[in-house]
Amino acid sequence: MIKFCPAFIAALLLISVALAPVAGALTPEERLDNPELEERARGLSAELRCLVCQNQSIDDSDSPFAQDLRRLIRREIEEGRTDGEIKLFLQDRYGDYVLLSPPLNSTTIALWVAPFALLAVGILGLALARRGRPGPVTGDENEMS
Amino acid sequence: MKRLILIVPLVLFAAIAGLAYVMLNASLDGTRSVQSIGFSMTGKKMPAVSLPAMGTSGTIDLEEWQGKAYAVNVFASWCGPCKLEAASIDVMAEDIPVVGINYRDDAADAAAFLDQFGNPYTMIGIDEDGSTSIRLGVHGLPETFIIDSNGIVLHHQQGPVFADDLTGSLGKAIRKATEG
Repeated sequence: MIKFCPAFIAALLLISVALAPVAGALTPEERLDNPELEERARGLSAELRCLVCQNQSIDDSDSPFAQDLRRLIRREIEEGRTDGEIKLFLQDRYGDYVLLSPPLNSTTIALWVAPFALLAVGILGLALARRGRPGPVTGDENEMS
Repeated sequence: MKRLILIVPLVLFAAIAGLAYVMLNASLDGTRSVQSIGFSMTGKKMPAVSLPAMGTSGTIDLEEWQGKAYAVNVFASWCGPCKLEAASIDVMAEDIPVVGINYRDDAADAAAFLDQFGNPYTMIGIDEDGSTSIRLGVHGLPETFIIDSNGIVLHHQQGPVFADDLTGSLGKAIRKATEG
């Protein structure tokens, strides 16, 4: 029976965790020859949602749908479309949901503003609560100097 | 006053929890189904796409349908719900011509599927790599579009078509497309 040293297993785990974000779901044949365009395609893929997955980007997912989208993005990039044009093309077909980061508009305003509003309410509440509380008993300021 | 302020976080928490509860319940009762992405091609112009035709050496071009009402059904032999909706698509094809788009399929499997479940399609295009279906806004199979003579999508069904759809909003869209 083969025995594995715990340190060896730990090292393997560490390496696999470290490599996980690099690996993605992209297959070698999908890559573009031009590294600059490929980098653009990777960046764009990371911003787009795989609609048939659980909150994964199309860059991370190996579903056929994500693969189709990755291929389409690369074809559009090669044909000279800008990132904005490609995003608009997909938004036109799948709505804002295809973007992993929701854009600021009338339906998402609460999503963007709520955290800051809650923070402001919290700070205000704290400030008001502190003002109402009697301060610690200290000596006369003149005595301190 | 001070006590009232202390209640604010509690009230906020209750409000957020309540909202989450209502939205989760809505997703369970089907008003926001898992399959739906809350967006469809309904009301938009059907993109003009062209595909190699199944069974012939030619191509099918959706632009040729300009001026006519028609339906598009995206299907594959490996798609379970496509088998479930086959009988309804047969019935639908009696009222409106249906163009089939065979999505990422094996030719022999697709032919066997049509043999087994029937072929209701006026013509079938082969979307071998899935890129054309993305141009149509397809994200899961099966999907069905009802298009009027102006090329506008009157109904985009994400998921299988069942008998009650034919008497519901999908049926209404077919009547509007064919009569209008």
